[in-house]
Amino acid sequence: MTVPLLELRGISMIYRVGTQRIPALKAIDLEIGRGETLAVVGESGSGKTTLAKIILGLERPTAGSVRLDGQELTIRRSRETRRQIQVVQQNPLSALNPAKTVGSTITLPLAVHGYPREGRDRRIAELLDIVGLPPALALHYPNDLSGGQRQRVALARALASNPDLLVLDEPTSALDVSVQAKMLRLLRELQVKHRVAYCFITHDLAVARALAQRVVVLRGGSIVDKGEIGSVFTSSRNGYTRELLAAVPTIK
Amino acid sequence: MLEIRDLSVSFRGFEGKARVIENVSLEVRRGEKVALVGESGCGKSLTARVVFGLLEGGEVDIDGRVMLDETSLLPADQVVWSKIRGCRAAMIFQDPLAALNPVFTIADQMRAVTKNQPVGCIRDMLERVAIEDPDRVLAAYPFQLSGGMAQRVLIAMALINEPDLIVADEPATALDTRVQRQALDLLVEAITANGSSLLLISHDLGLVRQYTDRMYVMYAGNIVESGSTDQVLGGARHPYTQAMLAAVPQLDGALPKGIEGHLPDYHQPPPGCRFQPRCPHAAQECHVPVPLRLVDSGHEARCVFVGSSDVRSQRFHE
Repeated sequence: MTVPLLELRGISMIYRVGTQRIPALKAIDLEIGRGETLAVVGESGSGKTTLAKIILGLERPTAGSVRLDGQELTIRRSRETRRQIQVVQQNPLSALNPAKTVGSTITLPLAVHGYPREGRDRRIAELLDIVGLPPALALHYPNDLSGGQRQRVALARALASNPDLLVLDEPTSALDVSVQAKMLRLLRELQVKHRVAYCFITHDLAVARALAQRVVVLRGGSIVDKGEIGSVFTSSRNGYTRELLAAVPTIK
Repeated sequence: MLEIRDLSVSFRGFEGKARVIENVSLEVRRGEKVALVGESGCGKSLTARVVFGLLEGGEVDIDGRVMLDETSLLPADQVVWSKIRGCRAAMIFQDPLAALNPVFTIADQMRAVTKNQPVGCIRDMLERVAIEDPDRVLAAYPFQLSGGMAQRVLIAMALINEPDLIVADEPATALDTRVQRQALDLLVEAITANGSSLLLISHDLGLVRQYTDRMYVMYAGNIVESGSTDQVLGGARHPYTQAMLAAVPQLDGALPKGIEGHLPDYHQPPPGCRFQPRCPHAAQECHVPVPLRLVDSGHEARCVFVGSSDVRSQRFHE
């Protein structure tokens, strides 16, 4: 069997608040293959964002291991590891520095990861083009942009270092449906073209279904259901999964 | 009960006049649940703000007629507003934690709304919106509540004076699907019990489908389609409504379709149909103003390709 791109084994996370111990994740096992999308679905408080932080190396899990390409990762990560795993957050307005132009926002990861100085402007134009934005936008500030454009800038920044894995934490839930639809199409297209893997965190099951091949359902910090997304969504026997599916509003 | 007729709103600014809302007419009858849908920036919330007089003064021109039963709300003075806001009509804002004052307890804020009703009434109201420990919530500051709890407090606040009309602007969109449904279930149940009316402002067609009887679709400050929720969602005739429907992700796994292009610049909106620059069916006829055309009884769409008769003259007849 080939080694998965990302592998989590027995990840647990306990937050200490005063004398209380609050378990946020309990013995999570999951893997994401190269170029694949894994959807992580669950409600607020199910541990989705804690899981994202552990994958990104922003939190040290209480127990368990994170492996990238078979190599165990610690909380102290090499520059190379950080290059390989990038993130797009839910709210692009708070994720982008309001005092920096789009261009200088995207320059930062290029500089950190040693992209030659003289090629940076061209690379920025290239990245903006990849996410469907005009190169002239490099001179604008986040405040001048629409919600959909801001999220594309955040995506361009994440792609700047040629990552193998993108952690997408509710990347479309702040967007209008028609803008969301375009964003989902863009993510699919980028994946096909660049073979980047997605850990797609969402509470919207229909959005997960549109983008992911596999799914894990989180509840209270545990994985209660997992598998190929089509079969989980059509024939899961898990009561909680079915309850979540029943709560998806239909328009027809 | 609420009647908006030929409402136009424009802003005078540095770049000239932005005609954001143009000739919007809509009505909400007693006991009816009506949706106003459209994408961000199309004028939905602005319309709600006009109803509550939150837009007067400054560099803004408002034209048209807004009536709540026999009371004209455009223009209206502070004496009228003090009898309307929170009493005969109440508004529920999108972000519950931003709508509550962070430095007062829930009890203080609810007392201010009810004008000295006994605490017992307030506690009963919180119980009605399924808050299990009303005493803890009353003593709490907003930051001590979860989003779902804060949303219920806002619903309780809007309901407590039994208003005739509740305007809910993207209620609970910040919440999880299940929590959002619980909140809306409670709201709609209470509205039905009181015999009041609801104007639900949303871009979520799933919620509109579930909770409303009739709907208006707004694009770039124009009503482009209206009718019963079944008629509009089941047989959308305006290309914009059709495009919105195609953008909603479904559980079948198909990638939803987006709408190409952007909302027009309100300083120079396209002549005729405002959707025409983005419309896949656009033709020469679309460059002149398009009236609402009758699709079916009660179902109208502002598109040259619909029906043939101009129904503008017979609007709102019963």
